[in-house]
Amino acid sequence: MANETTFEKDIILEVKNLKKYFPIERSFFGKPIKFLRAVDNVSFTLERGKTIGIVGESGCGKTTLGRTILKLYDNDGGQILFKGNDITNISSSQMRKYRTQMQLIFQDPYSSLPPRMTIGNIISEAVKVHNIVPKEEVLEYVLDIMDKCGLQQSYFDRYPHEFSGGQRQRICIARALAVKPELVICDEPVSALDVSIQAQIINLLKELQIKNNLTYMFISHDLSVVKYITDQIMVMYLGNVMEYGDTDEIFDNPLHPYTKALFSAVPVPDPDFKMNRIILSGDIPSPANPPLGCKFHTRCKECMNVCKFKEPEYLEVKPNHFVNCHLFNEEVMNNLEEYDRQYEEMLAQEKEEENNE
Amino acid sequence: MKVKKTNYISLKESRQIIKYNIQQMKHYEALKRRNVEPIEYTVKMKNPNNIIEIDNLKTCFFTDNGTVMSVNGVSFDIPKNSIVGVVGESGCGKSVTSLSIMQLVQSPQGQIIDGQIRFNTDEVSLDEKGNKLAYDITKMPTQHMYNIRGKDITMIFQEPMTSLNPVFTIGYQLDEVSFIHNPEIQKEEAKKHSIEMLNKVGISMPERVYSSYPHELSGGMRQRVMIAMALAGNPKLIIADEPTTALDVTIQAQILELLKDLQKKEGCSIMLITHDLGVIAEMADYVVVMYAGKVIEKGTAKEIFHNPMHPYTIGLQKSKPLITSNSNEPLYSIPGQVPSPINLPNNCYFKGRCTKCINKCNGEYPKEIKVSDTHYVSCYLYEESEE
Repeated sequence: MANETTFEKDIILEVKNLKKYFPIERSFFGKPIKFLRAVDNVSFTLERGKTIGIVGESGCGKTTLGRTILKLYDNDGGQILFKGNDITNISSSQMRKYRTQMQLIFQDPYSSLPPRMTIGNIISEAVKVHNIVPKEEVLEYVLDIMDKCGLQQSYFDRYPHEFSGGQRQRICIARALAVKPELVICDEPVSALDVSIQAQIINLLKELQIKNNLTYMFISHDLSVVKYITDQIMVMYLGNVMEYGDTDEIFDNPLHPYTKALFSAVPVPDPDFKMNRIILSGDIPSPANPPLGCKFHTRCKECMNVCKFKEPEYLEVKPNHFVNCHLFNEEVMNNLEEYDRQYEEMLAQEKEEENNE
Repeated sequence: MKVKKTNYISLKESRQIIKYNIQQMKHYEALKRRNVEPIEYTVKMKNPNNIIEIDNLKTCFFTDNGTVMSVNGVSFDIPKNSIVGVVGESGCGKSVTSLSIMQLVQSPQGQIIDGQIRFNTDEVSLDEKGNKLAYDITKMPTQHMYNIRGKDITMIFQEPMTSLNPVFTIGYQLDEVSFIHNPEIQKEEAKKHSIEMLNKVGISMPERVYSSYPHELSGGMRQRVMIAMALAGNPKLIIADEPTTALDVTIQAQILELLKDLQKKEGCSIMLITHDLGVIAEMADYVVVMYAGKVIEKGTAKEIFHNPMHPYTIGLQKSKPLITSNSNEPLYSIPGQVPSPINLPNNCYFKGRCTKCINKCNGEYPKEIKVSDTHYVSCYLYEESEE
């Protein structure tokens, strides 16, 4: 599956039109008839040593995307290329050799560590299973990893309940890094921690990235942290990608109305700083019953008639800057009157149907 | 008690602690008599323009591992018609301070052992010398507190998911507030009042929300309902305990805007508890920074954000990446962790994590030093400049 260009840029992960639908309603015979589109048509590429940030509100499919890439969920369409190999439809035994190369750090350090295992056992378990180092060197190797992650060697025989949140998150990081992964998916790694501990963990993650040439996929809702740590950003809303591009470009020049609103909603710790805040009205629509057309149109300030029935196309507006909005589609913007007419026709048709009933 | 290296407790020590706890709890429970004349808990306000004055408040919990001083000598004022932000890490005692104001500390383990909370109420007016009188909440009997809690002082909790009762409709729970504080009110009037409240907090279809159950609403809507409930009794003080932590950024912006508007319209005070400095900067007029049960710095928002004095406040502000800056340098991080709240030493609690320690720091806990009329800091670094 590998082509030449893939190797030139050293792309570690490529996702094409990935879909994950959860069945929410089944027919009498068990055939799913209604789906919740948790991840819908997501595509991105990730180079080695870079970090991609996935941002969005709760229920937008960030975590599902991460888990689908790790094949913890089966996907319903699309392609995942890991280091040029198609891993979309391989069996779980074939997947095993990739498991050590892709690791996950969970959000809640309190529930993601087994309470009955010592720290040493937690970190060394995967090392032994996957034969990362010869048996005799395991102890030395684990102590070395612990040292790198800022854990004292005396912690080796202790249990997770003896540690604070920040320390536990360090243990989770050590556990993930022990199998020498190349891609680490961090699912909200700092949101459960205090501010002063957050900075310690972010610095540790960055330091380890430079040392081990790691690639991160950083899932978070904290935009200031995402801005600090990532090279690329993907903004998601109800399973769709709204905007995708380089971090600096997106923060300096957000195009999608949702991205603009999201950025303006972040409080800035300076009492004199006045931001032109765009307050979005209403709540996120239920993902089980998303609106027709553009999924954001119910809350959008710049909503047009065309948004209400036609799904926008995912376009590359500038090099490496993708937007999913009609405002930047020239074909649509030039034919607005045409679309308005179509919308009115559609409304009229609906009314007729109602009357007939 | 001896300072030990591990937190292991022997059986003998454990028995001693439990014996001591029972004795202490009995002592403090006995102080809570039922029939207390109002004159016994009437005190003078220092400044009649404050709604609440907290003076040297000490709240502790008698646990099986020892006594935890959750709030250890906290003093600050909440002026009328203003927003006071209380900021600090988890376990620093910000929530316990607010629960002490509401007399909701879990007893008998949790007890207010010292200090005053003076609540400026209209029920008592001036004394013969012209001083404004107030009630001391720490000594107030529970029966009297029922009249104040939920009416004059109300609270918005962090988790809108768990603080509403799932088996009653929103309307029932809102009407309850009116019935409790005004027993003569008719059912129709209560409903009218509740719907008016729902309208006030920006709910577009109040009649429908009135008859729906909490699970039918989203997180932001539930938090709006909680705010409506807090507003129902025309409160003088609203305590908002991390009101937006469980919400998304865009919903957080809505709720903060709403709180700000309501504060201006209703003319009440808000005590806003949060760990997010951004929220504080946006909302608060005065800021109180807490650490390990003590107030380490307090002042107006401008003083705290433009001229932070305490090394902890400076560290907190530096350790958060800014959305407005483009720097890629490593973040400043405060080394170490918050000390364990049991058996704290009698010196500056921040000593172990501070990078600016001087010799004096080995001494007693530093006193509050006045920087300006509103700005106070507890740190030895600024002591000499004062003298």
